Amino acid sequence: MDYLDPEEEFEMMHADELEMMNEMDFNTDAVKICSPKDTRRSLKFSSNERVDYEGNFNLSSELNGVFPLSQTSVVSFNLDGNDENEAQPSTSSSINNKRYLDVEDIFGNTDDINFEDVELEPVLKRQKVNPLSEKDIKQQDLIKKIIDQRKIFKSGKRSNFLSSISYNSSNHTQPYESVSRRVPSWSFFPACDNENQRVYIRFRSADAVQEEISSLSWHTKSVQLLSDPVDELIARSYEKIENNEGIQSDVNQNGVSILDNGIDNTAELWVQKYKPNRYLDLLSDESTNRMLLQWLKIWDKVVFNKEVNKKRKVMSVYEKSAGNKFTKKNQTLDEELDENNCPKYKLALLCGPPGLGKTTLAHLVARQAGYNVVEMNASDDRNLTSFKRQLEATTQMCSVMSNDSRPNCLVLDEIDGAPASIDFLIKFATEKRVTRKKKPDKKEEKSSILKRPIICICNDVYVPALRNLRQNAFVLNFPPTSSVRLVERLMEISSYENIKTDMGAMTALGTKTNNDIRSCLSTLSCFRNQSVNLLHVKNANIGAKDMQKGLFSVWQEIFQIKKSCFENNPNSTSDGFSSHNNVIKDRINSVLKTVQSYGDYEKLSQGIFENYLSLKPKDSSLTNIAEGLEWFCNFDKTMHVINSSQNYSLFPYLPYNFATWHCLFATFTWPKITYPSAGYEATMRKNKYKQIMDELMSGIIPSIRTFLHRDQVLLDTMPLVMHIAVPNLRSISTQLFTEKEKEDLSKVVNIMIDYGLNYFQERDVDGSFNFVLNPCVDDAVKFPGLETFPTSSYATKQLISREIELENLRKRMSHGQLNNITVEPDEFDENEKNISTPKAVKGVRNKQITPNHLQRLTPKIVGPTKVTKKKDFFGREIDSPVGHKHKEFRDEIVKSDVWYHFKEGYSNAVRKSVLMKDLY
Amino acid sequence: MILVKMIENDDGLRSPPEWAALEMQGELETRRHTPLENQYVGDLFATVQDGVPILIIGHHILYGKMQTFEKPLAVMKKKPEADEYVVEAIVTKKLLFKNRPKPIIACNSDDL
Repeated sequence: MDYLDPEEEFEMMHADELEMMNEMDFNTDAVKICSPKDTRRSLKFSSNERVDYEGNFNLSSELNGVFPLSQTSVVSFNLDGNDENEAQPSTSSSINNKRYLDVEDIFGNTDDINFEDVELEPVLKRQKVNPLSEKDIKQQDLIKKIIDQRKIFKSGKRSNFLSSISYNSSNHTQPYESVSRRVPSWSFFPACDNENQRVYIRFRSADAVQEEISSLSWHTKSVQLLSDPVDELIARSYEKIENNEGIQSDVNQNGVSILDNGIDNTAELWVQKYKPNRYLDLLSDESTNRMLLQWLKIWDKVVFNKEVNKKRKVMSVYEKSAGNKFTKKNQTLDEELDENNCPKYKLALLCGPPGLGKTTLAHLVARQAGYNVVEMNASDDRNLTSFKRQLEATTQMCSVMSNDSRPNCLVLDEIDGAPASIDFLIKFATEKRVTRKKKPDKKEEKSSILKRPIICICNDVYVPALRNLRQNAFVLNFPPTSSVRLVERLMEISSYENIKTDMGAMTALGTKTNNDIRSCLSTLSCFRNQSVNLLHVKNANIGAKDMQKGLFSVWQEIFQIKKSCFENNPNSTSDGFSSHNNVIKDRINSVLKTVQSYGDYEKLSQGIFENYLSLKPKDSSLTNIAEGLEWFCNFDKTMHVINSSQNYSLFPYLPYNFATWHCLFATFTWPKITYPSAGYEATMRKNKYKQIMDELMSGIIPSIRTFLHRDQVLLDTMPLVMHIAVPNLRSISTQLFTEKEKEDLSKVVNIMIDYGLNYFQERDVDGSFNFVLNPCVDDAVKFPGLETFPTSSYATKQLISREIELENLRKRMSHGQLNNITVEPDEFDENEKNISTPKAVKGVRNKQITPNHLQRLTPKIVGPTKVTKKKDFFGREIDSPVGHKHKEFRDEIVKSDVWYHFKEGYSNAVRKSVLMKDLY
Repeated sequence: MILVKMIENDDGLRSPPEWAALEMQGELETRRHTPLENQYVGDLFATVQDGVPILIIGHHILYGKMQTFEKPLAVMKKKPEADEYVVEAIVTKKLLFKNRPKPIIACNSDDL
């Protein structure tokens, strides 16, 4: 489709607008009861405008659909309709004239005399013109009933409700009347009520109203968590209901609902409808588009057998003019062809944030270059086999059935979603070249070279899964669409779709969605047949998808007050206090929004908990911090309830904790935020110590364990054991110990055995050896505030360790658990002592001291084993006459003094001839 | 140069007894570090079928084989206060034990 010149378009747009402006002067039907807040807002010209054409525009478009009526006739129709809305024509025009007039003041509490009474008449009127089907009539009856019911309900309830809660309606009408039936003494404005009787409405100056409101706002609490006070919200919800009724009345009037109208148009998505169909229509960055097209053109040689156009000077000039040095550097295209006339890079990788038109570009450019585009969405074909099949099918075959004989160009969308296929793709694109080089005569190999361009599309090019692809592909980074072009296009589209809007709104839309065309369009399509202004865009809950902020930026937002908060607020000039309130409200709102969009409240709260103390304190009395801590408690409790009962209805309350923390802690200074690690570390430590405790508990001998609870052991027993297990011993041989020392030693050994403790030799980082407690309870019971445990010397630990081992063996022996055949070290010791000289004893000591790595492997000396009397189950000795002989025999063998020391290896190397004379 | 003079014994020229040399891959040691002299070392057997020599030292059993020297050796004894040697024995064979000894474990059926 052809777009108009901007100028023409501008004119066209303005023509519309002018028309609308004209209409607006007469047209008055859309005045609604507004709360004071809204009226204050509506003082801005733009929003007023919106209110005015909202209803009107629908009407006109529908009417245009139904009968060929001109716009003027619409106006007249509206006027007809409005005559029935007694007081309004005059009043609303007066609003337009006198902007500072408060609607509330004009109408007072005239809610009841509105709309409801009037609704039926237009229906009848319409029926005459456009006979309705029975069904419609039934529907209307139903609607009528509903409205009646609602009216009854409301008249009873609302008046109480509103008067009780909202300061605006009840409070300031009390001092003086606003509406009078008689000619009043105050300045007034005459109007008619529904019975065509005169009503006089009070004029009041805007200043007075402002004053009153501000005086009231002193009474309201200064900081509230909700963006608007509750009463205001309630009032607004009523207003909304009324609006809906208004729409319904519109529906009734026209017989055709707005919604139906909407459905007609949604047959085609706007994103599809306004998809660029030509290369020149593309919105994305020009140089990027060119680059991709150029890359595709290099394929011409192999695909179409055409010579590639070699003159590229224009391109380079263009690049210079494009200016961006960084992109230029990254995105220079290597135009070399390899021996198969294929480009060096067989894959192109388009990357950029969503909604910039990557897929559109790929499709369009491929079509432009004469390819048949085959799109493979990585989300369809996740498994490798189907991907393989598809890949081969598209790159090596050509559609025979259809008369479309263009070669295929494969577009792999969302390639980052299928990491498995990426590897295969790379292999497919690159490896074939190598194998072909080796065996150039193999025809099969030759046919399987990739001869079709493949374009891959991803969002984030730095995803680890894409690392390989990045190196093997021609990477094109998508710069964000220029907002000017985006806004231009949006304006164009909205003018096509009859959306009334202005540049500012579109720019705001663009920035809000990060220049995401798709998001912009889908938003616009929501506003179809309506007007869009800045306020709409700002309020619309759009563009927030996929716009999640990073953890740190969320924390930063919580901890830092944005300076722009103050600048952006236009009403802040009027009154210091109310501006402050507004700013806080804005801040709270934005924090809430960010936190809600992030979602992981637990992590966020951890980050706040670990960082809030490192911030610059706001007051020296630390009340903020105390209060903040209470909210931390609150958060924890809520979280606990949620997690333990899985009751997520409390979940929406969590973000408000963040809002309070923001209020309590936030400063203007830049917060230095560190990633919260305390929680993780604590859990790790807890697990470690739990394991140690498990080990310890299982090691404690059962007779003691029965009387111990885990916590007791940890809190009461072990810290003391740590002190007890350090005897005061001199580092001399055990034989030289005094009686007391011996006693101490045995005591310690016994205690340690009872608790299953022992020392283990361990090698430090620097290579020295140390004895550590096993299980290493000393870490677990090292509670803060306790004095450090005394540690004994290396030698003492060694001694204790050995003693414990010996004691353990002794115990086991006495329990008769030891097998006869196994060598009993105890015995062994004795044996050695018996056999050998003092040197041997020393050897035993030495052997204990020599660390493992220094110990030599020596043949095991088998001493005579002790003849133990065999005992039966009851401990009685059993005589075994057969055994005796054997034992004697065995003793004989072993008793011989001489033993044979076998030397492994060959003796050849050490053989030498010895002369006789050397022997003498 | 050694002059070998054949001296007749009482019963004429009689060949000296034949000894056998024992070659072992290893050493003989004593537990108490006492000298090996006059010590009982072990028992030497030979299997009935093949005549494979078997030596049992302590709780080790060694299997060996018989070899003949290429040059026979003579064991001589010097006579005191004379430069005369008496051939004590001729060694033409050696028993070579070069395999790793096998331990003998007293298998006591009661112990198991």
